[in-house]
Amino acid sequence: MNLDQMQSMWQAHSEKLDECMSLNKKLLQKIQAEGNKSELHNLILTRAIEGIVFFCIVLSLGGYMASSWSLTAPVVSAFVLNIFAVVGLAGSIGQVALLSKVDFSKPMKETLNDLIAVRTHSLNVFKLLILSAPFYMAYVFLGYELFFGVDLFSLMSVETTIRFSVIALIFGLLVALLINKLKPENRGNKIIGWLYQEISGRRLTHLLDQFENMEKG
Amino acid sequence: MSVDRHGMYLDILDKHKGIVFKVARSYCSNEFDREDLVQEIFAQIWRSLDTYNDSFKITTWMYRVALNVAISFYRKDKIIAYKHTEMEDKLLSYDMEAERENEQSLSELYAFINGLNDIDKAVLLMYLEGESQSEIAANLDITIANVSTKISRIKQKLKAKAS
Repeated sequence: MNLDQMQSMWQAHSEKLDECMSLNKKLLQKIQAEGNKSELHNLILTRAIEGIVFFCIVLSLGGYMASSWSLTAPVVSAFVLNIFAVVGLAGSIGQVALLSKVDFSKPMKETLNDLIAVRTHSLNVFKLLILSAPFYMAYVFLGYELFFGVDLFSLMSVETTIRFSVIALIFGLLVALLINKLKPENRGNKIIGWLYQEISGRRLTHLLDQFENMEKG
Repeated sequence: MSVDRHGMYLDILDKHKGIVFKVARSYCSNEFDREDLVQEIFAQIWRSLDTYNDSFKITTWMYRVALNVAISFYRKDKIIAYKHTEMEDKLLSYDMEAERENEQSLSELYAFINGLNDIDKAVLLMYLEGESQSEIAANLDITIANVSTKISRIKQKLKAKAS
């Protein structure tokens, strides 16, 4: 079969489809009544819920700082964690805004670019959030204060403080290395590739590959 | 939901449902995934309806939406599999008997399309629909030269398959 024969067959197939295919309007109306939820809609909803969670965290931590204001480890920890919660909140709002802009009636490359903008934004938010890893003790200090009413830092010896500081420094170096490696060109690496898929979503990663292939012609 | 918008939506889908079916069958060989893709395309057509204007042929606009959804469609999870067991009805039903005599050739045709990468599939589908190379280029936002190259490669693949 050559392309012309294929085209003739396709035209005949199209005509048959117009004659013999039926649309289940009842089911369509049922789906519409249920909100016509698309994958994109679900993704926007997920990001919006994430935003609400971050907003609640920001409010709670803000409330805690206001009520216990002093230069203690739990309050400083709450302040540090609040910065990351604000980043998360801004990230979720940004994601909702970008996802809402995605228009499937645009030319394919433009739609892909919109989706890639979502992916890039998601990746940047992840990079900012992962910066909280070296501050892991902030979670511990705040947790001890909230659950046991104990300021753990004030009970720690100098040796223990130095030990935790060294671990934080190592975390800091690892995070810096990871952020440096977290680029599209390194997706061939097993760990980076896996992280990419998990952060940006398999669909968007798949799309990025398609886009790159198209650019190569 | 305004009656006019809903009426227009049903009218468009009813007249051009074949486009959705052909795109879904070309991008999903699995019947269950295909039903999900059809539903997703319908949802996006509803969402994008306000962006439609008369400067496009309605079929071109529908192809754009359907192809964009199809290339971004990616799901292989258990939640969806569970959903299938509940959904007995299909949005689009087709009397296969009507094309019984051509079924083998059609299956081969779709198998060939399924074997292409997502962008080549889009190019071939629009080519088969009789869209010009400039229209295909505009729909994908790539150059006409790129479209031409892709069509030549598809021809070569077809030739290689035939021999």
